Amino acid sequence: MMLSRIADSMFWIGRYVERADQTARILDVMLQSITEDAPQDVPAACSRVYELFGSWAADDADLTVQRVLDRLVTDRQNPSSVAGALRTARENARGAREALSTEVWESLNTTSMGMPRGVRPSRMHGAFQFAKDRCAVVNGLVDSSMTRDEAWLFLRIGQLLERVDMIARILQTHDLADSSDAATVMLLRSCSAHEAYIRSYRGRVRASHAIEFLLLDSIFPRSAAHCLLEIDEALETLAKLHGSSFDRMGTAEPGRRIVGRAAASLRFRSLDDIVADFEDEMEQLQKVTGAVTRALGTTYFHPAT
Amino acid sequence: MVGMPSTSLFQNVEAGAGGDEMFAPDASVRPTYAALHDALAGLGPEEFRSRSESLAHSYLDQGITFDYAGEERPFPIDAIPRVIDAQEWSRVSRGVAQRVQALERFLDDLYTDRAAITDGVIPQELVSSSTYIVDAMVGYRPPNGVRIHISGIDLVRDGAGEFRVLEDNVRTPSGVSYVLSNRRAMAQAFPELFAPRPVRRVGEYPGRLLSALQAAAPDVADEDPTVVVLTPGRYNSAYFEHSLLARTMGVDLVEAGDLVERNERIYMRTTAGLRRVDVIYKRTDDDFLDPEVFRPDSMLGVPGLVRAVLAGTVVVANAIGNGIGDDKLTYTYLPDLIRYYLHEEPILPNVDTWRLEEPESLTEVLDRLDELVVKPVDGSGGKGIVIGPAASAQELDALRGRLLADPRGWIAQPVVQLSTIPTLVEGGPECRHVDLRPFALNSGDDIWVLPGGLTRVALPRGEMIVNSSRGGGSKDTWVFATDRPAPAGTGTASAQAQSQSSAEEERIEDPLDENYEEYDDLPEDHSEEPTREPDPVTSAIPLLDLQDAPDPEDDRNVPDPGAGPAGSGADGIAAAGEEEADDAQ
Repeated sequence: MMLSRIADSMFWIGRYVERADQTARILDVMLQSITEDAPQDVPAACSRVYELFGSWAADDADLTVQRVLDRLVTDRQNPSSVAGALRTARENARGAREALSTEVWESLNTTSMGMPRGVRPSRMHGAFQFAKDRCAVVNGLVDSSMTRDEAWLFLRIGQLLERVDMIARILQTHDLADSSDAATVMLLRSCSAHEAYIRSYRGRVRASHAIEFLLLDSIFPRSAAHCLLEIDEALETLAKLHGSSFDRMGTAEPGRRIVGRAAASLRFRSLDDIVADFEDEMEQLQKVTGAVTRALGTTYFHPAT
Repeated sequence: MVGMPSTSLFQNVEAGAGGDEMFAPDASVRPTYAALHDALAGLGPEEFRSRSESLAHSYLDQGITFDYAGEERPFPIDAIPRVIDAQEWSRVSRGVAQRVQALERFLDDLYTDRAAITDGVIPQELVSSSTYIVDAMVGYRPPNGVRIHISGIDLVRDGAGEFRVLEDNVRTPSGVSYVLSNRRAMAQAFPELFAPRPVRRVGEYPGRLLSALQAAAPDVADEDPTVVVLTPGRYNSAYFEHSLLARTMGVDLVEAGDLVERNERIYMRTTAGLRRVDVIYKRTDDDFLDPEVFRPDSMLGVPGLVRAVLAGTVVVANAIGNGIGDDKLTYTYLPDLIRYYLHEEPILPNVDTWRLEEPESLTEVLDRLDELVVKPVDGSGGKGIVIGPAASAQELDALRGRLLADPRGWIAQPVVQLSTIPTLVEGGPECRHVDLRPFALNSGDDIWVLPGGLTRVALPRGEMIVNSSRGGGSKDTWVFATDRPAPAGTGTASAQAQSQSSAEEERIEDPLDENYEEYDDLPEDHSEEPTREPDPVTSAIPLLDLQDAPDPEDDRNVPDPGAGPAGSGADGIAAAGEEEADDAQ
């Protein structure tokens, strides 16, 4: 048992570190491709990048790689930029230091302070690399220095939910009609899944396989199904820690019901059914993450007293 | 001593200025500082500066900051420690404990019988004119009688080198976290400086604090009372400290919104519902504690907290209503109060002080305003202080008006020429003014004074106000351990026994030891340890079944492909021979 406020903070630390990491990974791939691919329509490509992150261009001046970097990488006021997410994670950690190991706190603190204030397109890969490396350090320290108690479980659930949310966003903006190898490779790379896919499918890149892999592969740690199953497990452990009487159906807790239903729906329908209205399905998947967040709120973060 | 490096490191320290703790007026190094001075000088200016920079950097990395005007700033630590010798410290710590004891008696008296007023030790007006008496708490006495669980007594060295008390802090004294972090940082950056003379440890503070708070628990609490630290939130200037104390004690750090009163009991909101709280170490001002009793507009308060305290179901540390204890007018009576309650002479003198409510004092002070320091009785953090010699004519005129309007609100003191210690600034170490805040913990059984305390240093040249909000920094503060007793034959038996027992209590910093730990284990109460349970069966089961283990004989007989047979044989014999030799001893 722990303070509800701290549990809430742990959850958001998990989400924001993952958001910083994923955002850096996605932008690294997408912006690289925009700058390398000269004939591409840069404003349109930038506009797609904003859309992916639930943002939009205020005017045409925003539709350059430099502006994307300013807004989605270094803007500390935007909690969905890389630096902003790290700063928000750090602020949450500052309010929850007694629940974190000193190593995790210090590494979040130095990571947040170390993010550059401005990045040029020619140097952006270094900034992304920094953010990815530092998030890996934070995650590694969480893994090696924190007790597997409630605090850790909330952090972990936050991380996994954010991952599901991100993959749903990427898939939602992906153009299914474009089944070219290049587009499929881009999709896999923005999900940091290209290498893993190649090993599983022995080299042949096919659009339908890629979607299947990203959504359903049970042992790829970034697939939606894998994350949902892990969340279910974490929620079960949480319930056990709270001494809830044995939940034979596994449905007593609203959070588990939502997660279980989403996982089953993804895994036990045919892929054709899922891609029939793919954009809407991915929208639903994002709503699942919101619903789980609210369920955690009523069960743990703001329980009625 | 090696001449060159020392002159180059300390070349900017104005020798002969007087009042410096490291250098005597004749520019020689005082004996207490000799070992430290030589060790620092031995590092040389470049090495010293680079290690100082790593010290500052480590503070940023650790997030050791204070909030000033809504901005998170690092709290500067200076790499040259302050040193206090064992004998002087023994007097200071006895003096601090004596003061806390007298203040405990005073507060208890004021909130119950008010005998000190009846006996004419303090005037009725001290109480009736104070805004710090909390009417709701009159008649309340905490379960173990302690009201000042944590205190910080501010000391300065006057021109003669004597420690004097500048003010008492018995509400929410802050700064102890910097004592702990300063020591950790110094032990990391300058481990070898600790080697020449034994420095007493500070790492037992969190454990002692937890014990004192647990000892204060109400009678209704379980055997293992639930202690929490109550913070106004992460934008409070001392948030870092609140967090560090909660973390090192292993208790929850709560905000007011985490607490709720139900049926005159206090609970915290947890992921498993409401959980009882027994002791609250509050780090908010009384005014913001409970909107039912104090400011109704407070968002930081817990409605019903005072009712729960009065019902005896929860204890707040320090006690609500302690403000009258560090009222600066109360301060002026403290020497009398020590004599009255304890029948002892004060060990640490006050700084001479005029009470402006006395007409002749007011007249004298108004006459000499340009040479005195005038302080509001309820100020802290250096707020509202006017230093006469440094003030402009307009400032003094404005002050004169305020004193005439509200003489009870002010005291005046002569300018105390604070002592200095060399401190690293832009061009190298220079003399800067310092004060000292020792911290005391009262568990009800005894008053323990943390060896050393917080030395604050005013970084601007000549500045006398050392508060962090005025650009102050801090120094690690070293108290040397008592010299170990000489071998038998010298000194009387009783003196020896005494110094031995005190040497046992005095734990020493040893950062060069590979097992060096930042904090001590929490002191355990062994008196009621339950009888040990029998070893579980598993301890009788060897990790490896002998039958599964390879036969050592076989192992030895397998020829080592890398070594000749003669060599391995000789090794085997030598090893066996040694074993026998061990057995024989």
